[in-house]
Amino acid sequence: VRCDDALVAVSVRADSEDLDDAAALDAHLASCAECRRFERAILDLRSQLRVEAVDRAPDLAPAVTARLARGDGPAPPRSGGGRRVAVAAAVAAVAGMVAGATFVGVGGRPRSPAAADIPEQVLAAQHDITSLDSRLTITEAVPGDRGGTRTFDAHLTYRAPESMVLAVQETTTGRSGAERAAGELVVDGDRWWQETARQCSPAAGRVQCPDEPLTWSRSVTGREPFSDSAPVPLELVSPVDSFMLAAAPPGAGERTIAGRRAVGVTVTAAQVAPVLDGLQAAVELGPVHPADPVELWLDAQHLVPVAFDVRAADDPARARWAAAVGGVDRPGAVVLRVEADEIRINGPEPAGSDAFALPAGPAAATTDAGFHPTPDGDRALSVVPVPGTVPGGLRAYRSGTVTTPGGPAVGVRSWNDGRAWLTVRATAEWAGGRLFGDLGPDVRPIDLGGGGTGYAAGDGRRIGLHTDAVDVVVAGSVPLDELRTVAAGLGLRGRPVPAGWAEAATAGLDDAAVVVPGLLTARGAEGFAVDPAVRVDGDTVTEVRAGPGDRTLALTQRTAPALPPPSSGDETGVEVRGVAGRYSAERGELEWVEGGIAVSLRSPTIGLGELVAIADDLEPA
Amino acid sequence: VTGGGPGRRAGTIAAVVVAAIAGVAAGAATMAGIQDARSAPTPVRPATPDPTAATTPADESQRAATATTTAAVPEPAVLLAWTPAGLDPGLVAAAAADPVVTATSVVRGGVVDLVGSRDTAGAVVDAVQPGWGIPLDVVAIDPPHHAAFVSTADRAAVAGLGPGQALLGATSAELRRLGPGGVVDLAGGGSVVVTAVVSDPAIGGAEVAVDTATGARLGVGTDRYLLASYDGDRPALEGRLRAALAADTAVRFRGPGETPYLRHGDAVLPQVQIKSRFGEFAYRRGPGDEFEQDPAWQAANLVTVDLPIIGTARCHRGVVDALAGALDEVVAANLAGLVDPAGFAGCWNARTTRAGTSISRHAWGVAVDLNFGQNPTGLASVQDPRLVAIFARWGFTEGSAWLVPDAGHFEFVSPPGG
Repeated sequence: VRCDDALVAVSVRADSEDLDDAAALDAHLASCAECRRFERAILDLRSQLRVEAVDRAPDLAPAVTARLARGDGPAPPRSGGGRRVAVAAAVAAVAGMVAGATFVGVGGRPRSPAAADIPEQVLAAQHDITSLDSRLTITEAVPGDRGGTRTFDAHLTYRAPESMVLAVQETTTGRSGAERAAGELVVDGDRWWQETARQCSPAAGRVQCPDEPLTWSRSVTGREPFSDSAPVPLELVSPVDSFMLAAAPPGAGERTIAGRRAVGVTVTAAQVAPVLDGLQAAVELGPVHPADPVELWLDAQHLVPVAFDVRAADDPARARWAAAVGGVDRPGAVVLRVEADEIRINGPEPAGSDAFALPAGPAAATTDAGFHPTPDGDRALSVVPVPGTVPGGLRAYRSGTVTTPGGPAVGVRSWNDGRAWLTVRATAEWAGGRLFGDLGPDVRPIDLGGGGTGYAAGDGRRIGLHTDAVDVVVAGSVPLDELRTVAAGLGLRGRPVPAGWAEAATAGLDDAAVVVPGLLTARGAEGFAVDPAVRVDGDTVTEVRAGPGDRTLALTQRTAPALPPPSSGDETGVEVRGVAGRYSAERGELEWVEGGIAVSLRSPTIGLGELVAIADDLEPA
Repeated sequence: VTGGGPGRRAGTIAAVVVAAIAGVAAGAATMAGIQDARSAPTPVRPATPDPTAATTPADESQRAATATTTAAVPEPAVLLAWTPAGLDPGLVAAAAADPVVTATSVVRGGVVDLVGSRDTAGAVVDAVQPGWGIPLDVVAIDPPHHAAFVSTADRAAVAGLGPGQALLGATSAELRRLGPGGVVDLAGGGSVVVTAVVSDPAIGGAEVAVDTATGARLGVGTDRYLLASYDGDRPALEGRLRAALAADTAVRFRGPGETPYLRHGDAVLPQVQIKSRFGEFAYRRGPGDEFEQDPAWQAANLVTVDLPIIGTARCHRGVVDALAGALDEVVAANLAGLVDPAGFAGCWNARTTRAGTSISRHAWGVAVDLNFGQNPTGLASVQDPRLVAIFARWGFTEGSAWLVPDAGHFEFVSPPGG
């Protein structure tokens, strides 16, 4: 049971709804003080109200969570004459909350059983999607005093597993044809082509921008299967990444969109960032804040995104962020709306053999990514272990080798079933220093049973293995437990990485405290491993703790009088441990300086509120 | 609601009404932000005694002061604002007229060449050959106004700064080997007397601070950034200030904690920090943006190395390992195709910045230009994010997010892993 799941389960049980696995919840509560605090708060609130669950009551869990996060949990019950006032006031307050929620129109509908199953349904449905043809209208609010909206028409054509055309044309009224932005992405197997508008920032005496809009085109040949270098925005077809680690979202009901029945869920922009990023493959849209609520509508049968509204969150940090990026959005205002006008799922193949033909003519930049299909006997491909089992339905897809100047020869095998995919990449020529396969900075070791030690990326999307003979990474759009099964069934026994590698634990906290006097530790972070992996690199100490599910927490410290300069441009100030710090949503990183130590607390799956709470509980090592 | 009878009933009704109204507000607010209910951080108010110290002050006394005043009544908040190539005058006027702004300090900045220095006894500390100078990052402030933005420890020194006098930042004082009473001789025949050494944040990480009259005499006449204390809503204030600018004028706002030093060009290290790590050189300016650099410094600090992908490069010896490490990692990840060898536009290059207002970090050999042809200054980045991420791991920032994007430019900002 993960914390997110536990909070939902607590809410369900408080509503006297059936709870399938009360024992698991109780076991989690026994080990999670924060979840116990949440349960106490919600039960206190219920006892104050002394009302039974009513139909279509709003889910109070998020509101209570928010109040707990602010440290202003429900007031204790009063006694005597004040109690009646308190109860009446509390009932009125809840009635008000219902009215307020309904007025705003977000989250006022019940969390439906269908919505609760959405993450599982999305992951399952990807296997059955073979093609998609949709026409979308995009409406974007223009931030700042200029106001107004920009509109775009988009046409998405997809054929499983890796062929797509996404063409976007601006249709904003009042703009001339030359002023209207346009962009296109075309992918077909090992070929990839993109043309997008390109912004120019004038600077007196340094940069003169042309009157006409600039465009940029790029092509990639030799693209390996499901490449990160030249990605297909598959989230526009099925939001697998967005729901891979997600808890059950609140439901938003049902609608008919483009003639198809759709189910709605309310999530955050952070959660569906991969979907939003998918659109950016062809058109540059304004930024949205990670905390912005998104009402996402999915085709009820295939879970294809058919519409979504992004609204400005009511959050002080959001307001500051909006000001920093050039506008002030009214809380609750729609920032971005996308809706399908026409949609056809698993219809006949797009007409014509050239539906996915790349545009003629050279691109401004062309890259050969180095992938070549190779037969099974090829030396580089032969180092790629074949899993004992692959998730049901997946069939062998493209395989071959990647060779680039100076780089290691890498063998790649892939499988797919509809939009679902899996790759195993391996090399016998890995130079070391860090894990093969670009697992990112937040890597944690996992036990693969007979497969030895593996390393999971912070986002749960990749598992790496290191052996004496070969280095392997398993990736895919299937759930992490299926990736684990694949990794464990490769016939290899993963070993802990050598001490010199970036992911290695090299020291204990006592040793690390000598390097950074005054070192802090997240020892008390509820729900995270008691024993961290501690690494000392020169004057820098990094402590990584694995959490429930796929959560990872990295605490990095070095003796320094100041933080490095800000790099993202999205940093906003926050108060942490009584000092002024900064937070970058883009990096998922909270930073501050305390006692002459520059501290970084980072997690790809933990929001700012929880990071600040964890920071507040740091203690001397 | 403490009385009985009608008063009590009225109290109950009032409580119900108030609760209902509060409930509507709470319901609307919480439900609107329902999915990230834990993401509302505490807005930063500069409760520290040093509003310009964007991070915890370095010395123990200031740390103690910070700890003891964190919970005190918040002082007015501080906002930094700057625009590229000089502070937009519209910003200054708008801040001065804004109803929530309680004080402002407009800081001028520029490069002034040191030609010599002497200690309190008159002994020569720095001597530079005729025609040569050591570039100093100098700010010019209006002392009474700026004093409101510094720590109590530095306030008297800043407020008392007079014509012909100078303040040194702590790091600068170490470099200069000077303290109060020392004399800095500057190009053009002027000299300033050091009256105090202040914390680096007090003067925005600059090396030397003088008053505006002295600054004008030294050629430091360009407004660079604005500090404003305010008592109100920051986003609204930013909105009003932004509205005072032309639509295509980029502006950066920062608050305490968001950047190490509240100063313009805050995405890179101040010059004094570069000097502290990589040394300081004398130079002789020519007619263009390139200059002649002290050969002794070059011999001691620059090395020519053969780097992966880009080939031969001349850089500071202090960054070549990190550069090689980053490029090795790019190659090992089969991403060598992301770097066009023909787009390598150099590492060391003794010149000023293109705008001519400061010394380029290329002059220290601690920056490289990659894929420069595809990423000219001013255009949105087309660098692959994985290339940027690898260089970030090795301590280099990249200019995509700068106010005037310079996506081809990768510059040292911290040791690897920092």
